[in-house]
Amino acid sequence: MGNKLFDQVGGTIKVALKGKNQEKIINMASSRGIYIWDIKKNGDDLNFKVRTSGLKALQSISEENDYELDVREKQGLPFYRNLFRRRMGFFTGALIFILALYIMSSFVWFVEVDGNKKVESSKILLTAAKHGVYQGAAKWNFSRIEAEEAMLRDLGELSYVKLDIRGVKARIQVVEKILPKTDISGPCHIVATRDGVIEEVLALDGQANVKPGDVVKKGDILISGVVFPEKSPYIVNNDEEEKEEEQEEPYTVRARGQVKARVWHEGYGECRLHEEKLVLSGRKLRKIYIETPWKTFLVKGQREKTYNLYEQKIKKRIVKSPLGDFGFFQVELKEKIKKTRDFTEKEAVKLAQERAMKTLARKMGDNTKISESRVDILSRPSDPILRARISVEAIEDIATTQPINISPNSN
Amino acid sequence: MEKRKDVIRQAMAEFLDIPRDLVLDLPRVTLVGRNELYIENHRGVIEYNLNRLRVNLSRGYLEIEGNELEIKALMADEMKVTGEVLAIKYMD
Repeated sequence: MGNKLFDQVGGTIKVALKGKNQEKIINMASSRGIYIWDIKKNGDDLNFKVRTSGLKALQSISEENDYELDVREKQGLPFYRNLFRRRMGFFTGALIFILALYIMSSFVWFVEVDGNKKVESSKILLTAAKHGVYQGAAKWNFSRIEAEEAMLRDLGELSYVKLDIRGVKARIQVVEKILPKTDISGPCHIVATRDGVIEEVLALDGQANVKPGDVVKKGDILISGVVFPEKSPYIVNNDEEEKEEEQEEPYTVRARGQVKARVWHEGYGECRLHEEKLVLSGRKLRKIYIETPWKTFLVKGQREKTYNLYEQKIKKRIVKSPLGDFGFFQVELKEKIKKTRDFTEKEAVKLAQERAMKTLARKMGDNTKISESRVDILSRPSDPILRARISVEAIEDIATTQPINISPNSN
Repeated sequence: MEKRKDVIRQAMAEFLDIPRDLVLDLPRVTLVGRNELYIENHRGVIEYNLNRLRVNLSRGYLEIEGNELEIKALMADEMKVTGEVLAIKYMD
């Protein structure tokens, strides 16, 4: 029975045998090891199949015994050669296509940087390019792991670099180092960040310049980093020699401490009795264009249709090429409508207050304790607009460090 | 002489429990349904047409009657026949 696959590879031939007593040929063929199959009588002829390799032997047998042998059909791979020759162009085209696809896909066409916040992308890209990962680089010219390691070495700000190559896209994923805040290491003062009345002073290092109840302005020194040595009242000096040392020069320290002060914040808000507002209506229009250097085509949506009032959003996907920019962009229009609202005076006051409170909250820090607050209505009853002001008294830490310049002139 | 050899062989096959077709050169005929016929240990084709196939055996021959008979494969001592088999006869 043989193997169908090998028959196809070697090629099979269907023949017709003419003559009398054809069984003789069948027996001779099988006894000589010529494999024949699918033997079927067709009228006076006997049709059967034989492998290409056995055809010659079969022909000589039939000739010797005065039989006529006709080749009827050829099957298998060797006989496809003709077809191949006829359609040479097609097959070479297919081959070129596959080859081109392979070659084109073995270059990096896009480089993306992901995960960076402080380090600029251009800097990362430049470093990557230095180690062989750039637009148009052949994939076999760099090693992924080596490039990763080299980039990590070159960019000290990064703690992790991953180079992910997917098809023709190289994605550089980075994680930045979180560095501790650089503290002032030299001597410094503690100064006020804003005006206020001192409530509490706690000097851990340095000399306090203010005491509770003092009024300070922004920039005033609260705790001085310049310390004038004092004679301690608790240490009694017996030696005469040490008295000379007391006339020491003032020295500087890094002032540390906490200064709490009473400060004032103001928030302002207003509300019209008759208020107009633009609101999204929920209706949308979408237009998709295809951009080529010569013309932009509209693919979806109507070019002319717009709304009176709208918000516009444009999404672009553009590929730059020597001929110009190709790509598509999508314009989304969201309709806006005017909405008017009328408030009673009571409602307006409440709204103005709320808004004032909001602006106030933005100004103040999180850890501010409010000790007193006052609301003023600034507008007259006849005004179409209601203005509210909230004044707040709060106790806040107003200390901040300021380095001391130690130069021969200033100290 | 031949006969005595056969008797000895047969006795041996029985005694040693060996399949007879191996020892005695007997044909093995397998019929699957009525459309597929396998013959092993044949000695060539004597006559073939669509309705009748005669296969030579070591002793006598086998006559197969049927419709649309076709020798699907033919090897030195094995063959496969397809088509509608109506009768299988042993002839001397």
